[in-house]
Amino acid sequence: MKKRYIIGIAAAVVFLVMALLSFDKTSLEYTDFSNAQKKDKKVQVKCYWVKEKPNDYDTDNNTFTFFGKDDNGKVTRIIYSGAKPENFEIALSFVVTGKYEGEDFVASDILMKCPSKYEGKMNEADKHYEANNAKKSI
Amino acid sequence: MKYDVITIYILFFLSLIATILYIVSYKRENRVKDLAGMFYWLITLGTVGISAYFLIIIMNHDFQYAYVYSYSNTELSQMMLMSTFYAGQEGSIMLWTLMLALTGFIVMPYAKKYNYESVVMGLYSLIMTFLFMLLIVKSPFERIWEAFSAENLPVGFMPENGRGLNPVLENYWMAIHPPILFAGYSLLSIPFTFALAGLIKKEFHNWINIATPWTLFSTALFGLGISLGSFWAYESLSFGGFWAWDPVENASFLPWLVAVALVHTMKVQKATKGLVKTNYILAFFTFTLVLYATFLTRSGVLSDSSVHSFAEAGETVHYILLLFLLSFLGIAFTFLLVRLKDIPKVKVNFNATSREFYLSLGTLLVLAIAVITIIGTSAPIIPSFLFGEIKAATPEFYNEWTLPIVILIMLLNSFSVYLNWRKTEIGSFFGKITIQIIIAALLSIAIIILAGISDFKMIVLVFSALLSLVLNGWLFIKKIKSKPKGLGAYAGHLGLTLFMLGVLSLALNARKEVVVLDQNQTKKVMGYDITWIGKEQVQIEKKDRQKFEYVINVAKDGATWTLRPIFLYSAFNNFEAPFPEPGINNSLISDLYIVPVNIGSKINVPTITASKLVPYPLPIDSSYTLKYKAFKMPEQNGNDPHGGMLLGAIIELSKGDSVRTDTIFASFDPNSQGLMAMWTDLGIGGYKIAFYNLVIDRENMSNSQVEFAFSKEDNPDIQGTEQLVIEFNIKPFMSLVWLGFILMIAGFFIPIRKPVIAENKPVAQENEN
Repeated sequence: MKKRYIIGIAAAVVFLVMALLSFDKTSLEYTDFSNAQKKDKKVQVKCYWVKEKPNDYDTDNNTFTFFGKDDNGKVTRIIYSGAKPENFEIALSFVVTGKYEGEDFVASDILMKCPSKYEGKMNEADKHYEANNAKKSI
Repeated sequence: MKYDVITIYILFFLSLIATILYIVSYKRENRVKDLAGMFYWLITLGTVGISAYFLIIIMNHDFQYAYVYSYSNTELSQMMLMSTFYAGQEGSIMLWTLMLALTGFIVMPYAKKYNYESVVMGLYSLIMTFLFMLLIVKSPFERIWEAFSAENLPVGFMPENGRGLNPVLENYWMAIHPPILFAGYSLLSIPFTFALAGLIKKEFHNWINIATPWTLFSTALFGLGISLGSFWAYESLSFGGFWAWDPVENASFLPWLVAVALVHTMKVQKATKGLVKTNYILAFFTFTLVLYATFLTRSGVLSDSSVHSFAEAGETVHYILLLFLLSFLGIAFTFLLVRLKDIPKVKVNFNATSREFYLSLGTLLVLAIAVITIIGTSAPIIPSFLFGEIKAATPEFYNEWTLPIVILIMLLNSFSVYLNWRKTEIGSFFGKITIQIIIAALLSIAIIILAGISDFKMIVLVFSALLSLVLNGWLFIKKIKSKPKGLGAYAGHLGLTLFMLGVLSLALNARKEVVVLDQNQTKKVMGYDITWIGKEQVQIEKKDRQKFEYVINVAKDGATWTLRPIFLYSAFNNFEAPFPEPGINNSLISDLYIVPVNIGSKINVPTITASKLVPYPLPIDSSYTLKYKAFKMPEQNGNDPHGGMLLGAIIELSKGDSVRTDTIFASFDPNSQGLMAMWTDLGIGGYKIAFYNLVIDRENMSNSQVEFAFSKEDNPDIQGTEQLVIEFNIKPFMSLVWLGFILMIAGFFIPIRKPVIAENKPVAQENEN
C-alpha cells in the first residue's frame, strides 16, 4: 500500500507541475499597452474609448477600428475583426484581447465593462411619476 | 413597519437557535431533537411564506421595491415576470434559500429514520443561518428610496414602471435553467450532510447506502441544469457558444465533476468496503465546492472576466461567503481528523485486473479534470505577486488538458464495464470483447478516412470514443430486457462518448463565413444558397422594444430552411446598439447557425465622420484638409426653407497655406427627428458637400461628431439600401452534443432505487459479464 501512495503522490505532483506550466504558457496576461508592445503573445489590456478620435466599422472586411487609452494614458488604434459591439458607446471600459502588429493593436476579442446594469441610477423618466396614492409599505 | 425585512431577521435568529439546539441534542433525549425539529418546521414555513410574498410583490408590479423596479416592468409576460424572482443577486439568494430549506425539510424524515437527525439537521440549520445572514445584508426588500439614495426620492415613492429585464435574459430558458440548477446545487448538500453524520457516528458503510440514491438524483438534476444552461448559451450570443469555460460555468462544473467521481467511488466501497476515507473526502468536497462556486460568482472577484457574473456584491457579502465556505470546510475536515484513527483499514487488494482498480483510476482522471478547472478558474484571484501579473486562463488551456484526459477515461471505461470485481481472467476477458474491438476499429478507420483526420490526438480520440461506444452500447442493448435498472452505467458512458464525438465533429469540421446580403439577392456560401427576404417587426405590442426578425432562406439540394436572426432594440440601453440573437436550424446531421453581425445603410458616396477640431484629408482630394470647427445652433441660422430648423457646421478647408471657412447647413425636422442634407458647392473638383448626419454624444454634447458626404450630383440619394451582414455557420453533428447530455443525465437517473441497509452484506457478487 505504501508504494502505491508514493507512486500516486509522485504522479500527482508531476501532473500539477505540468498543468501549472501549461497554464502559464497559455494564459492571458492582464497588462497595459506598453508591455503589450514588447510581447509577442496575446494579452489583455483594459482601456477606455477615445471619443475624440474616429471610429469606423468596415462592412466589407467586417472590421471595427477605434482608439483606446489604457490606465497609463497610452493611446492606440485598435483593430477588431468583428462588428461594433452593442453598448459600445456606454461602456465604462473595455478589456481587449490581442497583440500588437506594428503600431496597431489587433484584437480578437472585446469584453465590455458596462455600468453594472445601471445600478445606482434610475431612469430619468421613472423619477417624475407623481405617486399620489403611494402604497404604504407594510 | 417593514414586516418583510423583520421576517428575514426573525428567520435568521430561528436558524441560529435551531443550529444550537441540534448541536446540543446530539446523543441526548429525543425531546431536544423534537424541539429543534419544530424550529426547523417554522423556518421552512417562514421561508416558503417570505418567498411567496416576494413573488407576490413582483407579480403585482410593486415598483417601490428596488429589486422589482430594477429587474421587471409591465411589458413582461407572466412567465418572464415570475423568473425575475432570481434575475438579480438578492432574488437568486432567496431562491437558493428556499431550495435549501426545502431540501432540509425533505431529508428530515430520512435523517430521523437512520438516527442522523442531529448532525444532518444541525448542518441544514447552519446553512440557513448563513443564507439569512446574506439576505439581511443583501435584502430583496430594499425600498427604492433607500437603494437609490442619491436621487433623494420621497418615502413611499412608486415609479410608474420598472426598468425591465436585461434582454439577454429575456428568454424562456430563464424560467427553466436557474431553478433546476439551484435545485441541483441545493441537493448536493445531501452527500455532505449524510457523510458527516455517518463519520461522527462512526458508521462507515451505512451512510453510503442511504446517500446513494440522493447523490445520484442530485448529480442527475444538477447535470440537467448545466446542460440546459449550455443549450441556452448556444441559442444566445452572449455566452460564447455552448461551453466557453467561463468562470461561472466552471464554478458549476467543479462540484458536478466531484459528484460524478463520488458516485463511482461509492459503488466501489459498496462492493469492496474500500475507499472509506476517499468517499468522505469527496462527499465533503461536493458541497464545499458548491460554496466555493458561490463565492467566486457572487463576491465579485471575477466580475472582470466573466459574462455571467453579478455586479460587485460588496465587501460584507464577500466575507460572509468566505466564512460560510471556511466553516463547512473546517467542520468537515476537523471531524475527519478526529475520527481518522477509527476508520477501519480495509486491506483491499486492488488487483490490476479488477473492476475496482479501473474505476478508481477513472475517478482519479475525473478529479484531474476538476483540478485543471479549479486552476484555470481561480487563477484571476491569485494575487499578482505570486505569478508576476494577473493571468487569466484561456479555453486553449482547458482543451489542451481535458482532451487527453477524456481519451484516457474513455479507454479505461471501455474495459472496466467488462471486468469483474476483485479479479478477472485475462483470457476470457479478451475473448468476450474481441468482436467489439474489431467493430470499433473498423468504424474508426472508416470515420478517419471519410473525415480525413490526420491529427494523431484526434485519431486516438476517435478510436477511444468508438471503443467505449461499442462496448457500452453492446451491454446496453444486451441488458435492456433482462436488467433494465442496471443500464445506468452504460447509458451514462454512451452519453459521454456521443458528446465527445459531437465535440470532435465540431472541432474538425465546423465552418463559418461572413456574408454581406442585399435584400432579395441570393448568394452562394459554402455550398448553400442564402437569400435575405426581408425583415419583420415582432412583439409590436411591447412598448419597451423594437424587435426585428430578419427572414433568411437557406437552400441546398432542393431542401430549404428559413432562419430568423434578430436585432432587438431595447429601452434597456436607451435603444442604442441592438441586442443580436442567432437564427438556428437544429437537425441531426448538421446545424445551420446565422449570427446577425450588422445592419446598416450602404452609403454609396465618400464620407468623413468628423470630430471637432480634428483634421481629416478630403477623400476626394487628399491635398485638402477639412476641420470641423464648431456647431451653429438653430437660432443663429435664420429660416429653414424646408420649414424645420437649420443646423450649421462650421468647417475649415485648408491646402498648404490657404485656408477657407464655410458653414454647411442641414435641415432638422423636429417631428420626425430626421436630418436632411442640403448640398452645397465645395468648389473642389466639381464636388458638392452635405452635412448628412450628427453622431450625438449624450454624455458630452460638444464631443458629438458631424458626418459629411461628397458627391458630384445635385441631390443624390446617399442612403442607399439596407445591407445585412451575417456570419453563416455550419455545425456538423451538433446534435450529438445534446444527445450526449441527455444520455449522461439518464445514466444517473436510471439506477436510483430505495436504499438497502444491510450491516453484514458480503462483497457484491456483481460479476455479470
